[in-house]
Amino acid sequence: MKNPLFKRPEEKLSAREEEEITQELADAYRQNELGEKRPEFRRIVENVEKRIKQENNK
Amino acid sequence: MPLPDTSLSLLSRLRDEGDHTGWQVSWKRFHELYHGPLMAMAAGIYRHHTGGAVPPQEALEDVVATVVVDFFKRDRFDPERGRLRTYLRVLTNARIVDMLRKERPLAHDSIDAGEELAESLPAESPEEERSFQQALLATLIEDLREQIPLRQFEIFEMVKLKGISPDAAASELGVNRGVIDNTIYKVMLRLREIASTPEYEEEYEKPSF
Repeated sequence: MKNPLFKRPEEKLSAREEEEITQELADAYRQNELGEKRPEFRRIVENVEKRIKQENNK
Repeated sequence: MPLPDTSLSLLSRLRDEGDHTGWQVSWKRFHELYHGPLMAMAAGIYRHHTGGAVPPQEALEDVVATVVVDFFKRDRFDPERGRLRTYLRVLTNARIVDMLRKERPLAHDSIDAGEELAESLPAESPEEERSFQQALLATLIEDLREQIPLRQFEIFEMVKLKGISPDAAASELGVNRGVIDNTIYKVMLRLREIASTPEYEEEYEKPSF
């Protein structure tokens, strides 16, 4: 099912759809804040950077 | 496509403006958007190929890092053929299969490795879909933050993202309730406009490969 946030802007949203969007945005915001603090995210970024340097030095 | 030197090249486009691809990504944006989904993809694909075994976290992180590097090295993504996330699933599947073959070469002789063998690619899991949607919304919020005045974003963040009541937000910011309601209305409209731009629509609407 299509996320109501991605309906055309000119289409009117129902109160339920507005509530659904708000909930999803809040969840995504919270998860993103947590995600960037997760150790595995930092490790992957470091790991990728290391490999990129190796590739660029070849 | 040249590899970026470091993650500090946040604003450097990895694809040229003249490129036909719809998804203009920067190094940071790519991480923000695909880190979570790639981890979910790798875990789901690992379980698929091992009959439900729990994947070791370190191995998953290694696979994700390899996929990211592969993606930039190969530069073979064709947006005409489908969504970027589907292409990343193909790469992730190939790397998981490689990893399993190295770990247990005899037990996994039957695994079909290679990007062309779509039949070895499991269907997208609900966790993966959920993870991608959250990452996409988080990116949308960041785009919004860059495109509206700070004060407007502050009000939006308090009410819509942190769940503070409009009355409490009005009191804390020293404005009347009408200012809060009016700002939320305008910002939500702007958010929907951004969501309707091609780069977001393509990732949501385009069918799989």
